Amino acid sequence: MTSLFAPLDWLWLLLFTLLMIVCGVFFYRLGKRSQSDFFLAGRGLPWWLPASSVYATHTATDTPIWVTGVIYKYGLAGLWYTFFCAWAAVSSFVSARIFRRSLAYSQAEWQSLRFGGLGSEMLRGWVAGWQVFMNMFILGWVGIAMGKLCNVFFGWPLWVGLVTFSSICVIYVLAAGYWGVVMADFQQGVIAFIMITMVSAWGVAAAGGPRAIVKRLSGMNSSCTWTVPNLREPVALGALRVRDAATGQTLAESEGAFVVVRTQGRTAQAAGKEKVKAALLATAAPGTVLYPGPSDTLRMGETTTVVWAPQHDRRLVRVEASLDGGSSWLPVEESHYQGQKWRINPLSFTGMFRGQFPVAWFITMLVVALLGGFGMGTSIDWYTEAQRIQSAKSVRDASYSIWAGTLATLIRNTMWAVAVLGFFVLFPHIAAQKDYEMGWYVIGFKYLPVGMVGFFFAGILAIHLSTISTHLNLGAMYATRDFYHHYVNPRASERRLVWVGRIATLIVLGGSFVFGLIIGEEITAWLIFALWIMAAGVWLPNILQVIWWRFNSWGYLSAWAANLGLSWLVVWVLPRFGLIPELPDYLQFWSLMVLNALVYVPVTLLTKPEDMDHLVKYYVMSRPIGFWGPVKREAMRRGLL
Amino acid sequence: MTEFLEPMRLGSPVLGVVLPAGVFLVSLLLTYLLIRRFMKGM
Repeated sequence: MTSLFAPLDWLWLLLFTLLMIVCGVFFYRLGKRSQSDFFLAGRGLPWWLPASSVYATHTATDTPIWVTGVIYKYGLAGLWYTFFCAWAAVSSFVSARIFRRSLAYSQAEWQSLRFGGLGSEMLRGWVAGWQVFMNMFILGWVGIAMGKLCNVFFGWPLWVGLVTFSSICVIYVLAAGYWGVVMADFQQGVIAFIMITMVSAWGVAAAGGPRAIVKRLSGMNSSCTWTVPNLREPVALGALRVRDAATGQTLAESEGAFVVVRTQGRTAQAAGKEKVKAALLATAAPGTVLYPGPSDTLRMGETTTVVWAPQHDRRLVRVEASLDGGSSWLPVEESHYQGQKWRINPLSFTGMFRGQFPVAWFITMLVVALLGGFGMGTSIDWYTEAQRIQSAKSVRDASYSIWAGTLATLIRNTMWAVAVLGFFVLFPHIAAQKDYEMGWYVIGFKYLPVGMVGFFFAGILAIHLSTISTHLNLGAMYATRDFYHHYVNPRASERRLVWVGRIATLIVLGGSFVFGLIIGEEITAWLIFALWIMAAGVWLPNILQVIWWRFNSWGYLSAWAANLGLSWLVVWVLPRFGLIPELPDYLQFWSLMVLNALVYVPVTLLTKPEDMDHLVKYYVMSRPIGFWGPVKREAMRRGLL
Repeated sequence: MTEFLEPMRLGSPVLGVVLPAGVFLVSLLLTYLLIRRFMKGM
């Protein structure tokens, strides 16, 4: 930190940190009044406060890491990976309004309003327990992302970044609960938005401006990454060829064999990176493989960048490697664009099912994002949004809040994306994901002037604290409202419930440290798996519970139980044993959706519908849309509508 | 990673004072306005 920080940077960091903590703590007297204040700010907030909280919460330390990762790898098409949050655009007008009318504190409580009897109680306990766990888990991965950041840039051990900043955050969460969270979020959201805008502008300027970025991308040679396979032989001779994806015609091939060795050696790798960079920028005859060449040595198991001079920009090609003198060829990239100009096209599809950006993936993403807005819990973000929806002072404020918060999130992503394109132009030769995904942070620490670096880190702290505070309070809400208040002590005083909320906050914090240390550096793999568990198998049940009166608690419970088992099987276990191929993520989604439906649809139809009195009460209160005919008719017959 | 981190500062050093100070003042003002609006009567 010494080398990156000047005294002026320390000053700004200290001042901004103090301001953020004081802003949260100041609302202590409001937060301590009642359970409703400690967890929902008394349900009296105008739309712009929960909106800024939606934005601030969904900007975490790990967010620029994965956004940078997908943009560096997929170009602007990578922005679609962040488009999942568009579910909120539909939800604003559908599920958010239904949920706000129900007056449930949490999603778990909503389950007990929507469903009845034993199944409803089991479901409330399950969802509450899952959410306490999930919030610890999210805190763990966000915390360890901060640990990783501090490790990379300052050399601190991973646990230091994890423990230090979450412990600072808990001060105002304990003091003022959700009042502190949402007020600090507003301030942190403003700081973060300005900081992200400034750093992104610096990134674009460092690369020479928008026109220079486009020009330099247009002039670069083609590239793709390749993880060299491990062989039994200690040394092998390799060759590469690039073929037209449609005709099979060879467009480029190695001019001589390169050497592949099993030994370790950092010097060779560093030299390789320089050669890759030179090859990407070199002027060469079309059809030449520029890296690796006859004088290069690659190591088995390492990920490197293959570079060739394109014949036709944006033509789809198949890249293949041979490690036995050309007798057999292995696929390196199945369907890949030549040149680098494709990076500035957000719709650079690589085929219906093939390549890095297939149409099938795009359609799946749109279905998940847009239809998901009809349900509750179709995205992992729903649970935090649900708290913000309930804290808004009216149904209209609830709608506006998640719509506006999500819009700010999408704008933020585009600012990051442009800066990351600038980073690619400056450092096009990085093959290892763990290196290039830190690109946006590199821009800030490398190019900002003295003083701005301290502000930059204060902004990072703002995005970190806003996410940590939300999940500490949310996890504590499920523990307090859905466990303690519902099962242990239904007659607890408001004062006691606030104190239980504080103790639960500390328990969630402790749990997050444990999860953070378990997750370690494998952030992305854990993140993706958590998203599949949350999204795939229970995606449709999460919609059905909102729009179909006949869907009951047993159907929903069975969907969850089946999903937990099936997601492990489909994503990890069966591919590891070679029983099924490793499926692309969009196929994992559809497989899990269909397999789960084979369980919960029969369970729903073979068990009784929910009690009509219970359904009528819920319908009159929440006014859901969809297939609610019998319940609506009964409510009208009783004169309730 | 250290190979990418060799500082190459872009922009005048004055920006390191002016821009963070501006953002800090805006944040301070917003905090004051939030407190005034929501803590009224407390």
